[in-house]
Amino acid sequence: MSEKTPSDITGPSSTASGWPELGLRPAALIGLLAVLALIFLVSLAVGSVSIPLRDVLAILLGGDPAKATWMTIVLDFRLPRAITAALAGAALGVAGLQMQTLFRNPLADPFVLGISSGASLGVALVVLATSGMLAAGGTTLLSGLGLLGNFGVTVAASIGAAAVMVIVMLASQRVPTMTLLILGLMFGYITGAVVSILVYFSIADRIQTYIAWTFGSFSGTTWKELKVFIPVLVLGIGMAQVMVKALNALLLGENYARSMGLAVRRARFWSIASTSLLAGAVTAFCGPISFLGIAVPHLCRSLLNTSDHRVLVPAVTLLGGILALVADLIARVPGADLVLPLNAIMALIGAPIVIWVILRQRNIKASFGD
Amino acid sequence: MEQLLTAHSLTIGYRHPRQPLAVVASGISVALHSGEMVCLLGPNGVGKSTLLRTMTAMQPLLGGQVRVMGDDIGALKPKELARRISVVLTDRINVGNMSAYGLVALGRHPYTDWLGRLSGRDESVVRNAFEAVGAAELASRRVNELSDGERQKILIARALAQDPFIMVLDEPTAFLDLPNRANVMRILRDLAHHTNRAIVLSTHDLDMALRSADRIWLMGQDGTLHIGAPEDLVLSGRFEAVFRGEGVVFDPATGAFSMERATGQRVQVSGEGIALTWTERALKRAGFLITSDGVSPLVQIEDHGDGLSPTWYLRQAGRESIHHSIHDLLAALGNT
Repeated sequence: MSEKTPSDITGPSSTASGWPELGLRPAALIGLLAVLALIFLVSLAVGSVSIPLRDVLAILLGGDPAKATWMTIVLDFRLPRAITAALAGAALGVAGLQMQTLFRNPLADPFVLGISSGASLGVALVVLATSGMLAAGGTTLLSGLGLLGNFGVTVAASIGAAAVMVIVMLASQRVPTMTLLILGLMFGYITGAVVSILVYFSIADRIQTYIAWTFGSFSGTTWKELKVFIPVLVLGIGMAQVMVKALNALLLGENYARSMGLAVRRARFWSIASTSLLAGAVTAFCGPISFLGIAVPHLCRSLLNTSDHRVLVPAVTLLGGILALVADLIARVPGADLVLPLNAIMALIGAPIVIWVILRQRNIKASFGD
Repeated sequence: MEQLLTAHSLTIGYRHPRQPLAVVASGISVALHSGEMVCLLGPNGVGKSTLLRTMTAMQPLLGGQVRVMGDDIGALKPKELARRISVVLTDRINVGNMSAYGLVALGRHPYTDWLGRLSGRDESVVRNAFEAVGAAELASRRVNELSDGERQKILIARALAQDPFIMVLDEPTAFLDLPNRANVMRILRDLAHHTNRAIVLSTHDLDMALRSADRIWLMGQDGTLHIGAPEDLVLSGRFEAVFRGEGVVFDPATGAFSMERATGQRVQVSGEGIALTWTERALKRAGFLITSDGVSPLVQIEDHGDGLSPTWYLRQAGRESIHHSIHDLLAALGNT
């Protein structure tokens, strides 16, 4: 069929000069990768104990540092934390990019589908609801989970996120895309209401625990948890990377995408699956990390001046990792024995940067029309 | 001429759960040939867009059959269908800081690998598409900085880059000014004639359609589709019948619509040149019937030429008055 397509009639190609290139921007991506590597090393070196970069490198390469305790600090504490931060930032960037493209909405973020609402409901049920039961002297599975501390919170958040993920995936096969957006929003209101009620009847101690979870943190993961965290996030990011062509087609909207031969429903399903995995895993292990998911895609579009997902997916992966590591560095307040709420730091430092970049380049209009 | 697309006893409309079928039109049988440009015309709301969407499998058909180059449209894989039919829709385009070249290159979607990389042949098809619509100089501009007319050319180029046998366009000239409308129609007709594609477009621009279409599909209020050369449909009175509505009449003599405001008053006019033409237009606009019965009020125009405005002498009911503008003349006539 295709060997007799009508374009053969239109004659030979024109001169090759003067046409734009649709490049993959390797220089920019390598630059981002270099920055990411540098920040990663710095975040291993900086903390309550400063370790020279030379020794950090030696430890990573299997050598011996100047002090033996540094080995433990880097390998058991700072490395899991840095990996968590870099991967979580990358995941949120990729998830946010997919949601903004799928919903064609600049305000979409990884959590529009209600994934983090589900996770927060799970955590609230475990942390808050069990306090009432404890007061009443009851011991249940839930209170058991609550007493397990960090691990219990992660499990509760995972279950909550997974439950919403299943609902969203089923709904995505049945309702139009815009309806999904509204469903996610409404689900957020409902969980917010339930959490408020739980807070109202809860004891201060437990409320503190819940609030602390909502601040977000990259320090709750050990190597044991990373065994789950890393594969899930690599899978989710990989799924987005495989779908760059479909995401580009979806820039024109679902009707055009379908007319270009894209199986829209399937593409939407896998994009939502990827986003759910990424947002769900990050929320479960790090809490509801805000801001990165919405900001990183905008920053990448602005900085690289492109809307091509073949460039954007790797770029948000790298820049998301960079920004998460920087935010974590600042939240740890190098030189002081103090840890600030991660979400607060991200918004305080990140929002002005995004405002500056976007005002400078009028990027919202550029990216999403008027 | 090869039949590229055929519809047989097609029923179009909408299927809602737990509700009876909402049939928009039925019994549509039509064939689309290579190398022809067809304009789909009809009053608002008769189902032109529904028909186009059904013909392109963007919407399920309720009955009958659509075949694209012999294959049932429902049985074609999306990618194969995309290689045969491309579309220009009325959907808003928000592609961010994408260049026009990037947008047109998206048309190669059914042909590229999983990463969407353009081969040398893909690049040359994209460039040919730009040149075919006369928009090569727009290639590196951002889509969101283009004017409506430029954007429409780029969207046509994108549809062309998809290298289809059939292009379907939903109101491609809406929102364009007259020169751009004419230009888009010329581009599409040239594409149909020179590249042997079949092009179907819906439009409300009857005048332009009558002047440029090879055939017209005229959709009536009852959902029937009248098919023929534009002139045949005018001569058979189909045009008048379909577009006859409140206060508007299609004038087969001029091929244009006029606002029907007949008041039954008659008037005689004498004069010449441009002044006569526009005086007659003004009188018709005001609802007068122009006659030469010898008894109705008589308007005589004296054209002084050389940029001076003419003088109108009006004789009615035995009195004569002089007027220096059409506005005054109409006012005087209205006072009888």
